[in-house]
Amino acid sequence: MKAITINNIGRCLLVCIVALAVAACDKHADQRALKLAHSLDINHPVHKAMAHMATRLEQLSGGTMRVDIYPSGQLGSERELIELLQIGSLAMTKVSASPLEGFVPEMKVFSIPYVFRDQQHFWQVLNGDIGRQLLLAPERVRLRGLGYYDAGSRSFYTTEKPIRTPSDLDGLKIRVMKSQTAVATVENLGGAATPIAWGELYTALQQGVVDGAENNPPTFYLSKHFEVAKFYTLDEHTSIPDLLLISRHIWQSLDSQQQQWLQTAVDESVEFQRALWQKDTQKALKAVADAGVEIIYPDKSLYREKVVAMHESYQGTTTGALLKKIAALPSTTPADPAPGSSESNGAQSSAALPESM
Amino acid sequence: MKNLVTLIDRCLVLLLTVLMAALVLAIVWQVLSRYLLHAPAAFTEELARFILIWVSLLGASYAFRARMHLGLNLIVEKLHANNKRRVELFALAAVAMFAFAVLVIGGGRLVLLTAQLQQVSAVLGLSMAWVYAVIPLSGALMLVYVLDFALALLSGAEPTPGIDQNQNDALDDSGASGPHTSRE
Repeated sequence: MKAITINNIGRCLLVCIVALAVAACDKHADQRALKLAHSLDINHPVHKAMAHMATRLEQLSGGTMRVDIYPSGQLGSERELIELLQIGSLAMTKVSASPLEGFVPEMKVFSIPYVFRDQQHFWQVLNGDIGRQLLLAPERVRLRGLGYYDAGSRSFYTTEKPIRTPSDLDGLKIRVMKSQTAVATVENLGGAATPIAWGELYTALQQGVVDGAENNPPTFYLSKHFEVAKFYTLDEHTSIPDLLLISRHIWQSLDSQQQQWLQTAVDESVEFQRALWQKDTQKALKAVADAGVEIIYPDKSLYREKVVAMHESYQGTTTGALLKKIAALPSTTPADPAPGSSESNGAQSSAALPESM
Repeated sequence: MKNLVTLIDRCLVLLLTVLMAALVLAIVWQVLSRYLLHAPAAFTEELARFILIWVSLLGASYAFRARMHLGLNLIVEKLHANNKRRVELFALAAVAMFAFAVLVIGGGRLVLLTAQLQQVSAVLGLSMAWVYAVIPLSGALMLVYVLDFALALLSGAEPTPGIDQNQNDALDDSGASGPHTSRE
């Protein structure tokens, strides 16, 4: 008799536990969770923008959708994350356009130096037809671009010899990303390109394995490379944007209302991030200058001349056609009066660019 | 079967030797071109990385064949001959399952997908399908060796003389070639 009662109590308990577990699952089941992984630090403006996107998505969808962010490369490197998206194991990732080259050859166009005349031209291209086309180009490899984040412009920094004119680059060993285009860029500018893993770069600079490297101001600051590299030449040779990607498989599994919420949240985070990036760039430049780094503002037209041959080498390829289309885009929209500095910049470079095509 | 296994052994050893030599050459060239010629070669780093992937996975098959993988035989040693054979067969079955499901099927699907989506490497522009092709290859080799070991166990005969006996007398100390070293 006694044994049966205990048995009954046990059964009741079990039923309760199962019921609770099912209820807990139910609560999550009507919320669609998207996993987003990337390789950046959580202090990075792009991470902050994606966190903003996650909050906005939850608000827009009335709590029915959420994004879980896995930062700092905990789920893999950029290339591995792209592969996870292709097989549908991961929903979203943020990658630089550079590692995307191996999957979508069109992305090469961003790694080519001096493709854009100035910041305004850059955003005009990205927000225009060409940018939209490039976001959808990865569809054929099971990926879909949702938006571009600003990753600034990459400039050279060196440990011992300042780069004031392009000829100062001659024979300097410059660390580049592992990409054919990055290697060609530095070689055309006169340096000796050395592909080194990002994590090893600080020591490589310190020990003289390379004489310099190139990156945007916030990364130069956050990586602490300014502690060993005391000269920063703002030649802004390449502007490689970051792309927010979603797995095509997962995008198609969302209904059109969910797709719209997600796209709206992403678009808002893009605006948010652009402002944040500008602020961080200024902050980074000020911080490295305070740390004793000499910031050099060179005459960019001299550098542009050096890559004319490189631009010509793409003639006849799809990349060449894209370059032509980008260059053909007028420099400024009449409705949007540019500030004086960038207008003079645009005028100066538009004289140099047509012959490069 | 024995002839086939011996042939595969020879090919595997030859391939591994060539790959190791290429790996050393690539690294030597990277150091020389960076520090002596001051014109660093861009391709060596990626080449060395891909060769290392091939050497590691083919090396895993080689090590399985030579019974060099780590195994705890504390309990197995205490069993009677019949039970010991059962345990060894079970271990072989586990290896076969992994080699087939994960390496051959999973790896094969990865290769097909990468080939279909035309992913290329960053510096060499080499199709990544070639790099990943070593995964199903390594799995297939392990399956062949599992079969050879299992047949020998069931018939009570000696397995095909292993790589370690043929080529690697120097490496062949008591631990690697002992008849009761367990696998995996």
